[in-house]
Amino acid sequence: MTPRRRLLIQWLTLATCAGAALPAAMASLMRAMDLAELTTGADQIVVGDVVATESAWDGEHRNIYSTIEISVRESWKGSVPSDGRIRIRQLGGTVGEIEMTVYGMARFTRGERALLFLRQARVVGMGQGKRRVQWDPGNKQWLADAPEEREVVAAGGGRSSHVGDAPEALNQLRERVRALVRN
Amino acid sequence: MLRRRLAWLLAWASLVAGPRSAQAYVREVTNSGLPVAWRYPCLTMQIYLGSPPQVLTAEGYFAASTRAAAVWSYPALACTDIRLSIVADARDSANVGYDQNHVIVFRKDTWCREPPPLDNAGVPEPECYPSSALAVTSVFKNAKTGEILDTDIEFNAVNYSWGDLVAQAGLATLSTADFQNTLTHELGHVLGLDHNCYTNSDGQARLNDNTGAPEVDCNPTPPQAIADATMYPSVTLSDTLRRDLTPDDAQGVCDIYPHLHDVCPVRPSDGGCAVLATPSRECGHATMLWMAVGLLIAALAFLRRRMKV
Repeated sequence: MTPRRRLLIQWLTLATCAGAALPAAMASLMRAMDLAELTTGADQIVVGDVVATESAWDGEHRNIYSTIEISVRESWKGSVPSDGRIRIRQLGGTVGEIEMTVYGMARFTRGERALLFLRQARVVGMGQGKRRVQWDPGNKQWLADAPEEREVVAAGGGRSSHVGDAPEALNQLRERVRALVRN
Repeated sequence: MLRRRLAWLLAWASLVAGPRSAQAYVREVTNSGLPVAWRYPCLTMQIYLGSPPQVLTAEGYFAASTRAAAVWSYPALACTDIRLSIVADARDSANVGYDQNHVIVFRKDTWCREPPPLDNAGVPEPECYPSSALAVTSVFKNAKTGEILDTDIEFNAVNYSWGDLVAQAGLATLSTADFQNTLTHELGHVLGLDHNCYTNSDGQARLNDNTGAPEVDCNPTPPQAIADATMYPSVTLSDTLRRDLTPDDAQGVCDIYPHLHDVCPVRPSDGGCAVLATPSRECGHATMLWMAVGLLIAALAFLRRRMKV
């Protein structure tokens, strides 16, 4: 075997193993996106409060769409209208007696605060582009929830084990995202 | 003598206690908090296999989907009434949405919902999913009763390939996932199970599990029994272990749809009675009527015997 062919086989093996270990979130089934991918994929990144949600059938009465109104507190990427409000549109919601759920879509509750990665008024990566933001009274700081959970395959082919991340201080996350935006 | 009594006591205690869950499961609820379920436990989904995407053949997809349905169903799961069956359709694909057709489809040309939803002016407005989404499950339900009315599962065959990673472990690559593994998880949603732990994109409301306790956090490290379950929300692309239910998954479907019938009961629309934990009003009335008739017959028999005496 020539050294070149051996190198090629080594690279292919490595790529296969790396691919097999890529985490995916089953929510519907999603490939987990990291912060860099979320930031690059977004044309708008904001921290805001959910002030209203409204749902309606589409024109063919086959799907329900929700419009979520966000009052923007901070803008980390992209521009925000002068009234400080943006509207997100996504599949799912309730109209009359019928409720439509699309697994994997972010769920919004009036009054909650969230960090949102958006592209053309849609949440990037379905639910992955939304992270709850909560006040930590102990440390007197805002915390953004951890990104989608990560997994590695357990040795010996057992069920996968979990390696999760803790919530992150919003100040720290802001710096990381802004650095990614600058680059 | 004492040993025999102790053995009886232990046997009785184990009968009373019944099979115990290793951890817990979480039911999907409506926005108002009602748990959701199908009213009728015999459910058929159509899989469209006219031109199946790589890697499996049409026969392979059909066999894998039949196996995924079987693990949630009676008789493989003896404690449930659910009979989830898969029917193959020779056409290429189907539309999704609220139409009472429960379909499993592969999107091969564009990773978008079909047909494209129409806006209020009747103009098509394409609804495309992110390439990071491998499969998307939609469920329609009655917000006032929790009854599941319609469901569809769409697989992304634009950005990913679907194979049998147990038979061909070498297939696991950057873009090939196990079809049966994924479908088994999605069918759990179809039957009314939610993820078994809380993720940050779930919004503010944390659901309770079947023990009444708030669902545990997926982050940073959930108990092993949670991470092991089919309804756990995160896996690796090469994962094949969600094909089999854990005791928690099985208990979930058996609690929602306990085993009451050895054959499919007659549909409510055919004059029969649904069997779910949240029966309809007509169904409840019918049950009460039959109970009243039974009591009347028993009372008459008792009186007749007394009169003979």
